[in-house]
Amino acid sequence: MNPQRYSVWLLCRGSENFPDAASLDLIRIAAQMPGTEKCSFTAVTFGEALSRFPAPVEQVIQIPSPPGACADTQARSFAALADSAQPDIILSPATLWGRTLMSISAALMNTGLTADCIALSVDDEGLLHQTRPAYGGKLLAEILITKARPQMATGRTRSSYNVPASQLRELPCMTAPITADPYAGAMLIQRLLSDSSVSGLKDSSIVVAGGLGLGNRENFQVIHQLAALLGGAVAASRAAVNEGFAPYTCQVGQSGHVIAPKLYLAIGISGAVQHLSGIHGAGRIVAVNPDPKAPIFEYADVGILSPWKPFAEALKKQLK
Amino acid sequence: MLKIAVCMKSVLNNTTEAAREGNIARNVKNSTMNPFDLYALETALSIPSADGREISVFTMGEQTSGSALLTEACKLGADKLYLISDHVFAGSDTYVTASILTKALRLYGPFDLILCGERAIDGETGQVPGALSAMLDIPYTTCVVGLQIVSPHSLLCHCRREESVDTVSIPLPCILGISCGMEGIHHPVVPSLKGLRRAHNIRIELLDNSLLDFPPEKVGIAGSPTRVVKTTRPSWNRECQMFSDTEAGVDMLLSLLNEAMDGRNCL
Repeated sequence: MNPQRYSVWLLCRGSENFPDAASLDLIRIAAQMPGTEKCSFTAVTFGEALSRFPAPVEQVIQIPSPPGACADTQARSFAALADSAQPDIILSPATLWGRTLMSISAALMNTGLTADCIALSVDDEGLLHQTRPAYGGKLLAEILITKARPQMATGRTRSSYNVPASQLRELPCMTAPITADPYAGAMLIQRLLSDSSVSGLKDSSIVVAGGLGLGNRENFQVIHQLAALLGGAVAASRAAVNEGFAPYTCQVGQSGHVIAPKLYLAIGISGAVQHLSGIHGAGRIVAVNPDPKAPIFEYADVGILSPWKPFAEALKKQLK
Repeated sequence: MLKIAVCMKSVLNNTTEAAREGNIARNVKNSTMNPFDLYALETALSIPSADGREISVFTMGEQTSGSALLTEACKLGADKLYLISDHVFAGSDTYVTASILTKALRLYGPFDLILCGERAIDGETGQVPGALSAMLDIPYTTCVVGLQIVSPHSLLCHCRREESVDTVSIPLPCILGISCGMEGIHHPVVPSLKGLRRAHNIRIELLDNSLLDFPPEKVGIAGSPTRVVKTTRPSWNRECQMFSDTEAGVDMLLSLLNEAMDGRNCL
């Protein structure tokens, strides 16, 4: 093995020995980033028998984690291990779990952490160039961790991503020793899966999204009707979710799902850039809004200047 | 007595301006209370405590906007107000911000419970609470939408996750990231008469670096492990074909829909 390669750890989760979508997408990002050939990749897992990963992951470190232990406990054992092994770079999906674990670990190791990167690259000196949205996505900031090590970043991963099982290879695993007493942190007591986790928002090729422009929860039903008519899934902007029009699991944008449907129909969404960062991978974006100055029109392929109601009626009529 | 600390941030209320300038100094005119932090304060106010409770609010940043935030927090019912402000702190990243907050929280603590908004709407990193958990060595969970004190030593929290709502047990003292949509919190909370009267005799404690005593090279831009080396404008814009005739727009939509269903339009 080339000793000059930079060691990169990737935080992964999964079930039934299959990495989850966020982990697989993180591995894809790592494989495609400029400078990837200068790196060697290790997957790090917590309390799970995950040993099968796609290229370019070469080995696995399994960190024991008691049942119910949360990210705050896992971060303590992870930081202890990383502090002694000193990888050059640690990456994690920017999921709630990843962000929590990384924010605690980075501080324990007195190093820097960049959140929500949308582009990563490794240069000849082994510096990780991290690009993240700033000011709600209006600017992109390139960030370096110049002195402190390891360099840590969370990457924006898609909510849905899969690879064929044939690409997963059984890899050599190392179980990390537990050096300290188990940390008495948060413990998971119960998990209630949200309804919309089965509604197919993440995998649907057609998504109909509603925003604050719908006015209230009752009017938001039209989004459900149109989604059903078009064979698509329902989504909502953060503003609509905050007003209680739709549950959080429908939320698309910087603090919600990142989706890439073939067609995204946005109704009554003004289009804060935070929203855009959840959909910029969409094939076609059609925006319906009565305000010609609505920012969403800058990001849409087709703009329809109309309030939601006449539009919904016209669409229903056409579909009949 | 239950001692609660709430960490609050004053954020720009107009990110458009910031984007034009690239970077901008916060002041009282262009700033507002980070909405998630308001939920954190309201959560603190909603916690019943038989033995009484004391709410200390900490904010860090420029003085005029920080004082305005603390005055507002006082009107809403906060008991003690701490303004962390010094020009050497300017430009601190999340690691350094957490180090400074940690020192302030230690100085006026220990606290049984530390509440933060899950993230600030300007930076959107959500990294400070996790870093505080590491530096204060206390447990942490985030995206808390419901909270119940089950014993003097532990809490039950409902936490929003990507695809579930988790019930989590967490020992005190701990730090929580509070999300919006908090159960039992009713917006808008308005200042009480008592609060308004109290705000007349408001006393804000200023915590500058003569008190917190950091070596200047350990804080601010100089002390931050992360460094912004370049900013660029994203090119996410698309060519938008506009329709003011709704029916024509619907026709266009339907042709795109057919394309999408045929799978011909894979980017």
